[in-house]
Amino acid sequence: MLRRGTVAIETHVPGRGPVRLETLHDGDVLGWSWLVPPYRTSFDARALRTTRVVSVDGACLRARCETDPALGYALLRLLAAVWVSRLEDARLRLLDMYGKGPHG
Amino acid sequence: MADVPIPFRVADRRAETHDTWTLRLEPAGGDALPAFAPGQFAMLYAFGAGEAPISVAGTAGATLTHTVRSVGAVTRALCAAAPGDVVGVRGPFGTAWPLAALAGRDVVLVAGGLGLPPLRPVLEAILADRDRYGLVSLLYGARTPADLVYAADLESWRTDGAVTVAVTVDAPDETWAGSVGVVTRLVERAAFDAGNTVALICGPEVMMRFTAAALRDRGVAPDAIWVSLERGMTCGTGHCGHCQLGRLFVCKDGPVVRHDTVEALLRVAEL
Repeated sequence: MLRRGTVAIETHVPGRGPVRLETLHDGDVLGWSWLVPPYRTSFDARALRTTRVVSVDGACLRARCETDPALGYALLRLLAAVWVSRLEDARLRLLDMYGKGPHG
Repeated sequence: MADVPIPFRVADRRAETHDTWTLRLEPAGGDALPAFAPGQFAMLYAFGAGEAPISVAGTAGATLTHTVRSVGAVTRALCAAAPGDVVGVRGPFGTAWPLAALAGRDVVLVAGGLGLPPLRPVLEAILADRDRYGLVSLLYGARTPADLVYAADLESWRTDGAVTVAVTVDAPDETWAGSVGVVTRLVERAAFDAGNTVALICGPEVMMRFTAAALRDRGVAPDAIWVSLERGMTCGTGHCGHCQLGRLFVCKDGPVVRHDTVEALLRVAEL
């Protein structure tokens, strides 16, 4: 969880170097690979300025969720809202809505 | 309102992007047009090519400023007009942004792509009388950094500090150090008192739909969200029907409308 700062989600593309896909800001959630097997990160994260985060031990939190379903459900509801928002953003960008339309 | 094009001379032409130009037009003869209000549009006539509806991006006396993207034969001819060339102008057409309703309120201006030019005169009006308004934010999204218009103005507005300026792009290049993502994400981070906010949105229709939803999620009242529509305006007087959207003729009932009055219409695929 980003308390304050800016983080870029990037991936390395041969011939292009790091390509910036998205920036995250105060209050945003960064990373969920800790929750879904095989627990492997897919993208890079780069702090673009001094950034303060709250970091959580993924394995520990998974174990807590297993033993406390109420906690797990509450956590998943919060994360699902983030996933839906990110998926919606990705779909909007796929639309290329600033193309050659009237107000593009 | 002129039924026939009035000749205006191109006084200045400035490149905004690789395909977008800002033209400053001055009356070429004795005829003048009524004053344009922010949000209204003109029919610009490139002689020999045709007419296109272009929002007013600024006024100074009888001088008009328009920002035009080259997307077809008419706009290509307009963008190619050099200082000294004459174009025809009809207008003003359509409804204006509700400037009076902004007084005493927080104001959120959300522009997507070439939606910034129609909002520019609103921002200029706010800056000219800044104390009349609460917090003011300009949220601007574009496809790439190279597609951002009014780069110098954005920098000036940002450094001036009278309004908060946030810019994001969908696809950054290696020089871009700003935000990356859709413009709706800027709404989540903007500072405003939702219960006392008026939002004006201009951009592609799908962008306006999602932005209005984001504003409502933040608590902005449905009747405080305004959009500027773009629907094939041709005659400018509501007679030809090319811009019809349900019960509305966008050229005269719009382009500026309250979002909640058209939200259902914008969801009808056949319109």
